[in-house]
Amino acid sequence: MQFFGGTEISPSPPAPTASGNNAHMLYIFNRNGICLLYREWNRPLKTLSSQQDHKLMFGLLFSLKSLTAKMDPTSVEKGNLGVPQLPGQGCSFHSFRTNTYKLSFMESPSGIKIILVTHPRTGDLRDSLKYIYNLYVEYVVKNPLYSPGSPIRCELFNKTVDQYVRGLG
Amino acid sequence: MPSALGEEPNTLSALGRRSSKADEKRQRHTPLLETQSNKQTMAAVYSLYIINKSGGLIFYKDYGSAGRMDTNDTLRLASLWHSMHAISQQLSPVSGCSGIELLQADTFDLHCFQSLTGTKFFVVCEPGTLHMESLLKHIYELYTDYVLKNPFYEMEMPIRCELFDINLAQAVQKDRVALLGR
Repeated sequence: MQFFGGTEISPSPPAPTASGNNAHMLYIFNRNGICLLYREWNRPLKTLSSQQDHKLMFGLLFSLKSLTAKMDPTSVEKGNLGVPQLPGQGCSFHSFRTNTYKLSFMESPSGIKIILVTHPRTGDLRDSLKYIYNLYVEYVVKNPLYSPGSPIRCELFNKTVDQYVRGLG
Repeated sequence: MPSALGEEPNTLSALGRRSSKADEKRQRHTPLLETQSNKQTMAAVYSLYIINKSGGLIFYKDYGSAGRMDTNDTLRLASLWHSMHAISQQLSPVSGCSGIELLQADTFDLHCFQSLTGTKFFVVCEPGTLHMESLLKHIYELYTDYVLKNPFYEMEMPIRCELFDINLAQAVQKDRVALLGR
């Protein structure tokens, strides 16, 4: 489980792992499975409508989490498969890789899920996701006009995220 | 992630990265004592699953994970993995996706290999374990040799072949030895 020291943005964001823009898309979900933000930079293949796509993505993460919680080879008491778990409970996962993409996943203690889909050969992005979470706290949560649980419509946040992800490997 | 990965000695974090051939050689030549102190007595591979093309579990072997799982649990996990593998293909931003190859969880790595006929082999191992792709390929070879060429084996049915078991035990053992740097 991740714990975050403070909400201040660290003075030096994690160093990019390579050059060029490798990111495909970014999702932010809240704990109820509502997609707060969807950004897309490079997605040639689209098979589903965006709503279906978000549902499928949330379902995949939810099921993968219950799979890893049940499969965890280091804990003795794992409970039953498919029982919903609170954020931070049980064994979670931080990334998976296929031959065409890599998906990095982070869940905050409040159940905010940040998903970044990148080129399969990108390195560890856990620090970058934490940085994006900090951006979310700074630009969205601290925005007095934002009501929690609604889709994010904050130009400044979108711009900062775009800029950060472009600088990323 | 406060401690688990962060405090491991440098060698382990280096193991986690995908390394070149030269790096692998260097790993193999590290003195035995040093590597053993990192690895303790833990098995590198926790368990192995083989699922047929429709998601049914046809082989499961446990190599010492904590907390026993009953047969129903392993069957459920196997079919759940089959669906997750299929969904991950749907979500690909680029065409030509063939499903999850590596899942990195907090306490384990899951490496999956899918053969051309749709049979999936996956191992659950310690985070950052190397050589798992080659182990899976080797297990696939054993499967073709000792299971598919067995005249009494029925396709898509659970595997009960003594020779396969023996050779598999050797392969996993050998891999453990390679990891210890011998």
